[in-house]
Amino acid sequence: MVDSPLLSVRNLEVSFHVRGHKHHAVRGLSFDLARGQSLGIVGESGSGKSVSCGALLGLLPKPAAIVSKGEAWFGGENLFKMNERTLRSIRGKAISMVFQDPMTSMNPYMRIGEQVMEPLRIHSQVSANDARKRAIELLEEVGIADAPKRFNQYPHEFSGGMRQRAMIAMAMITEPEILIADEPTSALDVTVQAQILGLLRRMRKQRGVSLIIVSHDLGVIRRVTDKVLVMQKGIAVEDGDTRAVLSAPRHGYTQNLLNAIPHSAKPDAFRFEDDTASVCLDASGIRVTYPLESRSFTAVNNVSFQVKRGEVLGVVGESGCGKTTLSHAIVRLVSMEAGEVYLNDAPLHALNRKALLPYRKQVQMIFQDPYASLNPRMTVHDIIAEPLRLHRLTHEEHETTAAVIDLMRSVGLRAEWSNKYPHQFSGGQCQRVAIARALAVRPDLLIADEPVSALDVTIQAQILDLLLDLVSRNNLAMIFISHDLSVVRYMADRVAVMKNGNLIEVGDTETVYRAPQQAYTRELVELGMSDDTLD
Amino acid sequence: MTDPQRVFETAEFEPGRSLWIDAWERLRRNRLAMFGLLVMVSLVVVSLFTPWLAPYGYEAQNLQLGAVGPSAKHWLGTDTLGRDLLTRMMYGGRVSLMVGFAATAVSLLIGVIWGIVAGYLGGRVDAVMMRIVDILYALPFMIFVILLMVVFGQSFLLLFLAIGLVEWLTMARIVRTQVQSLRRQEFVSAAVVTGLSSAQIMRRHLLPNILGPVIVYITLTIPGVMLFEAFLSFLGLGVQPPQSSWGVLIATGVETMEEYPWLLIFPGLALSVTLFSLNFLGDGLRDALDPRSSAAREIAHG
Repeated sequence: MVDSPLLSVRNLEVSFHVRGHKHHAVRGLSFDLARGQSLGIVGESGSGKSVSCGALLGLLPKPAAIVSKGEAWFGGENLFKMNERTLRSIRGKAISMVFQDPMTSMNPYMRIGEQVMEPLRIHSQVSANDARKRAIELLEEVGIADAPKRFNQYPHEFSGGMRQRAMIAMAMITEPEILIADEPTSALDVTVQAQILGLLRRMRKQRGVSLIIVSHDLGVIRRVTDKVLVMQKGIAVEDGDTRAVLSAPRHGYTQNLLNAIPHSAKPDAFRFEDDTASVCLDASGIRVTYPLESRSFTAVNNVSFQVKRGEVLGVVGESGCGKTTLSHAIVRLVSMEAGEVYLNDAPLHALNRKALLPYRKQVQMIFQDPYASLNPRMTVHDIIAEPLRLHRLTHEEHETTAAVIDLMRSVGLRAEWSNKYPHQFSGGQCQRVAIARALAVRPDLLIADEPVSALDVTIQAQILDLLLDLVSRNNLAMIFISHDLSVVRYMADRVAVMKNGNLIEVGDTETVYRAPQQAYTRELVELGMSDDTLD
Repeated sequence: MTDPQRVFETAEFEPGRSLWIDAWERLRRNRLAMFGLLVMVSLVVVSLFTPWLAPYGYEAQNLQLGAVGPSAKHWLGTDTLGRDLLTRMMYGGRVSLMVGFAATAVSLLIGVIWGIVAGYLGGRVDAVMMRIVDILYALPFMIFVILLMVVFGQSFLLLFLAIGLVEWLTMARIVRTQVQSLRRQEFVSAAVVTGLSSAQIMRRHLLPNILGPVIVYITLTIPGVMLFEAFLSFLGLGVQPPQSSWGVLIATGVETMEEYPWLLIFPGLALSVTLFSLNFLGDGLRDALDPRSSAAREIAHG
């Protein structure tokens, strides 16, 4: 290449100082970014991918984290040697950033338009009128219809996707040379995700901006970057052309990352093939409405389905489609407006709180956020022992302890960890604790609501296999809720597709994925199954 | 895909420890908190045995002596009526501590229960309960206490009851806000699905998680109440002479500050030391009860 690179990072080292201990978050990271190039940085949580980008713009959490070594050359100057004032003139002007969560990265008390034009007003002498004009143009360019009217709205009036579009408009308004996007689509649904990635690609093509995309999602990296850097524990373990790296990874860690994404249908060993199995859960006509100020909102509308013992029913759909509400209705965390739920022929919908208690132990749930689903002030032992004591499954203290140890081992936890608190565990280990708690009462039906969405892919793979193994060993029925189509394909015997509160399609997983009956299902499958694994 | 990692290792197994035992272990390692606890315990012990420990009677006057500075006979000096200051501080401490603790206990009991119930149940129950709090808040606090005093006469019991009855309002609001954010967390849903009743969830899952802010608020309330008692006494509604409290001693000390500074310095010192100790103890308790705090982490790893 004739041009010298736009940004050149050499030997970057970021260290955190926590109570006298020095810990390296990034070590010896070097990369070049050419003008108009798109670079992906991929890795799991704690790999240092976000920290590296934060370091470039001086956004590290001070004083705990510092750039202890390295250089970042941009426009003939070293970003790490700049004083705060010079750095501020670059931040948001020459290098701008888009964050993960469009809910929290915009100020809820400021109009969208003001936020979009703010960088322009700060970095250049532009009249309010011109800035406004420019902001509206840009909002139109990023695909916000009726921009002059939208300009005056507040963030809560925008959907997640629209907010992310506005964020991109805000980042692009100063015509930066580099746009850093930290997990720009991780909080979005697949259909919206595809649109945002398309927008980023278009911005790069039309405006020649260089992109740095940080993501844990190899699908995102594949779609928008031409170079990729794979990071593990603060070190870049592999780099190269995106296509080359993803199709023929050289480093073991990259291979692990690629293999951890479920590529296949449900393994034969776990497939449900018992025609004589009894029906465990029979739900019909479930309807849940939430009162809003003027009207009511129907979250789940006339949904019926069955799950047999030993079978896994996958429920897929985008956020807001009612899949979580449906699961909450079954376990009576929300009340149903209409509908019947029979669990092993017992009418759950007709029981009062007291009469329901014995059935509580037949249905258990696993939640999405492994930390939020465990009481932070209880030890693992107490968390798992609680249902045992409550339902009087064990009587003596030593029985309880023995049962807890058994459960911990069955989910792959060490018995000597039982006196630890949830925060001392990793996300994957916490999810194992939550699974042990759910299994403690020997349920017939397990409802897993996005149980692996908050976990890194390699951990995700372990938890999925653990669940499959437990379902088949205990002959459980399971409802597996997820937005991730490849995960559901790996887990479920049958799949139910939900949209706007309605169940629009149910059927054998492979049949639904290969020959969807509904247009919406087809779109979901096309976008959700990023690679060619269905062939 | 990788196989689920199974770790089957037999190791020495320690039976379950509760949060409270863990918390005590952590508190014991916090020197400042232990110092605070020691001071508070000694104050309580001295207060309990004051009638036997005090060198003089609290109303024994020596008008000929008048106000003199600290000496071998009167360690902390005497006041304008020739009464021994140490004795009066010991008796005054009884009142101050009792008012402080009892009023705070009343506010703690009502406020925490009220806040948890309103915050957890939400909806109409919450609306009614919090409107009651709003109405009580709106009543002029001073007038409320003064009325109580006037109607029922002046007694210690009534004094701290009256103060506690007002202090719990803020406590209830703090607790409710905490509970509202906690109840949306998935561990509460998990507890419902497990089959716990609302009362069990409040006691086992919510209460331990709100202790941090509650303890901090208590350490602010106790000194606040002690000073409020001084104010009421100053208005003639609290402790009556010749009885005294630290607040009363400080208030009268201020009047003669220039001539007899020890009358202000010593009671002021007593109050300050108490407040410092309470703060150290409160911070220590807050950290000790939170398994995620840095102190806890150091102990876990160290």
